[in-house]
Amino acid sequence: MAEALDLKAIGTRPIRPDGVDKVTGRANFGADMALPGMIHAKVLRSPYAHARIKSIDLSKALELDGVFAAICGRDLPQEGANDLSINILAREKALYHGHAVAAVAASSAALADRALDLIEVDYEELDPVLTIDDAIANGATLVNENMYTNGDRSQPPSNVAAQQKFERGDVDKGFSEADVVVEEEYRVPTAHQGYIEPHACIADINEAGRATVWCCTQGQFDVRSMTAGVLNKKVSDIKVIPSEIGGGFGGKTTIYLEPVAVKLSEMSGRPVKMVMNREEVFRATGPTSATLCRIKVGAKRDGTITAATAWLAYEAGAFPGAPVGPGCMSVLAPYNLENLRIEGLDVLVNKPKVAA
Amino acid sequence: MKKVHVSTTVNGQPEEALCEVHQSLLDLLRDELGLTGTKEGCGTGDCGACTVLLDGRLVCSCLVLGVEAEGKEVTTIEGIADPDRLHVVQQKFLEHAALQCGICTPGFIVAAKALLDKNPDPDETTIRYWLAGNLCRCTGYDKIVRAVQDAAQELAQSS
Repeated sequence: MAEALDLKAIGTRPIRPDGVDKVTGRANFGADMALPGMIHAKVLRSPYAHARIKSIDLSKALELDGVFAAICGRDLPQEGANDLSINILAREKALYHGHAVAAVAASSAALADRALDLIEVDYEELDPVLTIDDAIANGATLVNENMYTNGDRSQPPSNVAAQQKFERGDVDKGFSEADVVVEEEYRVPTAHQGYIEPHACIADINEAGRATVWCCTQGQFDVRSMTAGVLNKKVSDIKVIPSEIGGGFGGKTTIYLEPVAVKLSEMSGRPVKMVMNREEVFRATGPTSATLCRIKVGAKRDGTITAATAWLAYEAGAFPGAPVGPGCMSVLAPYNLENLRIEGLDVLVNKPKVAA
Repeated sequence: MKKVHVSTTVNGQPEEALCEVHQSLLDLLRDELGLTGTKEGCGTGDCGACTVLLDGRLVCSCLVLGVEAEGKEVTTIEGIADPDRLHVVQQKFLEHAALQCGICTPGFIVAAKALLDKNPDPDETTIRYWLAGNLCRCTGYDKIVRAVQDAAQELAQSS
């Protein structure tokens, strides 16, 4: 068949164009770049899954020889600060164990790490919300006191950021016609993609306010617009150059370090490099959602499904945006059903925001 | 903190570097000598992305101190190919598509070459045992094992 069609690509075994650079160690990944005069920044992360931040004192860290700059949430633009900005540096509350609270730039990464120990943060520990069951229980502690389901302020605030429903036919009638009804509950825990390359970037901003960011990302234009948004800059003032990427699997479509590196570069006048370690990747970057699903299916003895319902609750992490919509759209999609009801919940918990 | 002077040999070349006592061999290679082909995935000896040879022994360079390289010979991914020709293991990784993102590839290749240098005719179990310290999240391990088997076969035919 293939011979008859004289195909040019199908049936061949091309060698990937980036292959030689990757088998020789020549390929440059996120942490492989270096610039003249470059300094290094590290992030102080919350030791609590949920805590009110009463005060942050950077002064002792700034006094250490070799420290160039230090920032915390109040140093980022406050007006219109979105979830991304609050995830990058916590404001009033630390929302998960590992939430970035402050960052220090110093002449070496080791020195920046030492300076982190000198930052004084006064926390008031709060009850953490760690499971869907806890999050949706009556009287649950609120991850975000200003979160109203679907934005409906006529109801009290809730950890359910959004709720959606799809319905067709008459489910009760369908189940009454079934010979067998099966109802099961399924729990899937959080899973991190575990890409081998930790997140890394270098930022260099000049005196005219134009920044260049080198980073390992699945989308350099998204990184540019997100970084500009967090820093209240024009996208034309930021150029993002992607490196090779050591795995992302959906986890490198967002930003964690880039605005912090740009800000520290602005304050120090130096290129600033930031590289996460493995622990930071697991504590503070986006995994896929943990889920709790209840599925009920009614069928006749000949196998015809008469009705099905699906109740899907997805953990979003500390900010809304779990991929429960696609879950709702696909959960019963393979079946030709006359009677169905699907409900999806986007649930806040004190864990990193999901990113896959 | 005062830096320590380290004299070592990397890929056959004598090298001098100043190293802080807490720095790992991985830091020494990447930050002081600019050899960034060796990667850090975990920093705890779990992923194998930082695999190098130290006096012929396979090590995770993140678990070796930089100062321990004094007087020793280090082989990294940058020392595997000849200037004009890839090593057969590298060539077979390309032909079998045994890499995708490429972050784990240097460690796998250093480990696979070390195996074939010691045992030119390993069976599949031996190959999997030698590469058990290297994690890959993209391709899966099957293509990598086949690449190493093919490399061994080619080496046997050419010798």
